[in-house]
Amino acid sequence: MKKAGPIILMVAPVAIILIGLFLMPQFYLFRQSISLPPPVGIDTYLQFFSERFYLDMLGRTFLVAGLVTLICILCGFPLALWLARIETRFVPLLLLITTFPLLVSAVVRSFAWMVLFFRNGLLSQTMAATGLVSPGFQFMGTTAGVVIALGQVMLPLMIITLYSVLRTIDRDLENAAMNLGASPWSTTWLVIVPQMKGGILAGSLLVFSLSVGAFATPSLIGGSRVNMMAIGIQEQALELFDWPFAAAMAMILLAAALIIAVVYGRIISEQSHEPR
Amino acid sequence: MITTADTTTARPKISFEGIVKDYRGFRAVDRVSVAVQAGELVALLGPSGCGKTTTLRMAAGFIEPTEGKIMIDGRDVTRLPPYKRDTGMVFQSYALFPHLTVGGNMLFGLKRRGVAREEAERRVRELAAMLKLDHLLDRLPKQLSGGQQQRVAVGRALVINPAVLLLDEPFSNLDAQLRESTRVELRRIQQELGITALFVTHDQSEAMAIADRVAVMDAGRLAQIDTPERLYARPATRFVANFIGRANLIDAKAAGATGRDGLTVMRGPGELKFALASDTPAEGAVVLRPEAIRIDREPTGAEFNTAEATVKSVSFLGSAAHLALEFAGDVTITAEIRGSEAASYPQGAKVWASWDASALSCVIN
Amino acid sequence: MSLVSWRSPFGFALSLVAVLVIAYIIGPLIVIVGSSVGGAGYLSFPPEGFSLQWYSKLIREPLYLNGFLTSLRIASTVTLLSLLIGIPAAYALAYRGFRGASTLVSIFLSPLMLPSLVLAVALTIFFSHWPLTTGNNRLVLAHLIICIPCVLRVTIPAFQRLDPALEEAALNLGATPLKAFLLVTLPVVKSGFAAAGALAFIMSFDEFDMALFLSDPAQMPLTVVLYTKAQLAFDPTLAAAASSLILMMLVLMILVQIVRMLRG
Repeated sequence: MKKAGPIILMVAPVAIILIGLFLMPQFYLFRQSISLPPPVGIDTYLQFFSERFYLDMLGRTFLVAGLVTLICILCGFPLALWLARIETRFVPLLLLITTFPLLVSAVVRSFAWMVLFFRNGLLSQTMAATGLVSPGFQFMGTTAGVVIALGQVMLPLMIITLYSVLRTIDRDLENAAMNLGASPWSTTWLVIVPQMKGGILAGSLLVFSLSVGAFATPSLIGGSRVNMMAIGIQEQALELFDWPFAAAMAMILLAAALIIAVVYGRIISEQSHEPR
Repeated sequence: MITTADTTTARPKISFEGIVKDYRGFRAVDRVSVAVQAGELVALLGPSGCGKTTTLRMAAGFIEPTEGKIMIDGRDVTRLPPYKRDTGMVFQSYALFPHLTVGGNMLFGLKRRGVAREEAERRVRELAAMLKLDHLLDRLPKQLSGGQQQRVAVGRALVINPAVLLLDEPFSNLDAQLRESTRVELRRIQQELGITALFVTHDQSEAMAIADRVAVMDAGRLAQIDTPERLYARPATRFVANFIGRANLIDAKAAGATGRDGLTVMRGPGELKFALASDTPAEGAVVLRPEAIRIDREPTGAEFNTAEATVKSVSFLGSAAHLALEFAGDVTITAEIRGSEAASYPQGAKVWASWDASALSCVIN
Repeated sequence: MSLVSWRSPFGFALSLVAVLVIAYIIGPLIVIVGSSVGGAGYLSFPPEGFSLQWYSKLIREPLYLNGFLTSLRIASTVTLLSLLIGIPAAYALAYRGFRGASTLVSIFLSPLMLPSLVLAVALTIFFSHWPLTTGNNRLVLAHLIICIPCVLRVTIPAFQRLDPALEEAALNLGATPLKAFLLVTLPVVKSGFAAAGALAFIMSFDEFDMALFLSDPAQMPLTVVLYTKAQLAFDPTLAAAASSLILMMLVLMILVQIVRMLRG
């Protein structure tokens, strides 16, 4: 009943838009990045990889993304496990609360952290009062501040990923482990975590790749004092108008994201083919 | 009830003529020919993957046959799209439209046929009353029990008064108790309305219970089509004998005839000598139903259709009991006796088994 | 005994961690709503006194309202276009007989995996070569790149979950393929469309990276307005604006849940 003709007709608009507005711009981005010296050259890339400042920038970007991913695993796994296993009718409500921040723009959420992070903010004051930091310390403009705020921005994504995997795990496996004498700690470690490996990896790559390219939160919390790729790209493009260099930096970020995306795709397809 | 005798001359309501369906390198349906007479209920019976559902879906027009013809009311519908055929289908999943009420579901087909609103509603109400759905017309499918959903699916297919009603495992989603009462009910309505029906099932007892004729399918081929009684008594192939009821199949060779009765003799392994009333091949398997076997402590003295055996095991099933009997020549045959008699034949007992010639049939190997 | 039972030390520890993590996730939003109703002349939490002074200031500030309306306009256009383009494609891609569909889907979803800042830079350069359109229409086109994949991701599974027997039943009852699609398929998966539309709308409405690069400076979307304000001065009016957005999303979410519950 359904023939190839209508199928192509239905898919074509999406393909055209993605070719025209997604692939073509990336080609122009690449072209722009190799326009120095004219007509074609790779000075922009040479400059990026020869200056300590930019290598630090790349390193710091990966460091922040890595720490954010770590926070998301350490906070996301316990919460996802708890949500997947508690027996209360409030679970849907708790899930809504957990995922609600996803509906709010990252700009707004970052602004919320600014309120907490300024010198007279609640968090800075509390930490100064407990003696953890010296009075007058503020998280604004620090890598730690960016990590804390970005972790909160990314966490719901990790929880959704882990929760959906946890729900597919047969609960009788845990019951069997506990029936055989395993404590809840060792049940979690020996039975649940091994089955969650794929889910944790998938969630981590998602969070990592989004963190590498995140702009709003690092820009508002860190500003130019935290040396990250996204901030650098925006400065080169919109403040220094050095578009070739901005394009080269964007290409480097794109390459990093592409590698992660390919690995992510592999893991997802392996997971779906793996018999559970 | 319509018998096979007086329908051979009438034009069939729906017929498959040498239907073939090939999927890349795999033949799902292989030269199947079946003719269903008006008012008849024919069951397509077979294990999963035998091609029965493919055959039904070709009748509805969801699958186009590779070869062969499908006729409905004398009209060739082989290349007709589903919406131009006059069939009503009951799906295994019921496929009730979840966004429409029971009434809306039943009206759907009538609207497509351009039946006037009042007339359509009258027909829905009439049929709904017959199916005991009249109080549920405003409900959505998800508010109904499984049995009610099944009746809506039947009602939706029947209300358009189709030339043929097609049913794809219509009882498989019901629990065992409901299944039995529902199939009796479906049979009553089918006969009351004189509807022609083709019905797919993998459950032989279901097919035997309600069908006028049963078409047994095996690996894409039609193995045999006949009334339930004849299928049981005279299976045409080993597959049919095994699939319909329980059967002991004993390899045997033709060995002349008995003197006076003119029965054909077939020799099995060991001392087993069968005398059959029916025609037999030179070599084949004798079909002996467990309940046809009589057990005695003493020899009957007859030459044929009896032999000595040892009780190897006894399974007590309540009203009946199954004895595994071991005969000379390393043959084991299952016999069914009354449950109350099970105690008389303990494991290891020596017994004499015997059966009537009329209870035997023979299939080619 | 459940793994997370309160009585076991493990369950207790897990519950404690879970509550702390929920506080981490939702706390900042509560803080900003709380600080927006403060009576002091500056932002503080916990709020000192209660006053809606910043909200009355917010209403009198045309920049926020204009930003809100601009974002609303952009997001509505993007949502409509994404659904119109995405739904037919999703229907085709969900069709079982379509070989190679899964490869195509993963290609179509790839814009969601790449940093939107990179896309923003790329599109800015692209538009300087090919001035297809001007002003915020550029942003609309840019948002299509991430919102169409979003629509696909939600509606393809919705079409796949659809019992194929439903369409067959419609055909069997005499509906043409087009009627079967309009009368059966569409109504059954429409809740999927609503979800896809809501997601596309929120994505576009909340999007910032591409908006910063591609929006019309005379007609800034709300996220750009908020970002600019947040960088310039630490204005409590900003907290009122942010809180209004949070509350708006909260109301939207509650409405969706109520509709869901009423539907059973």
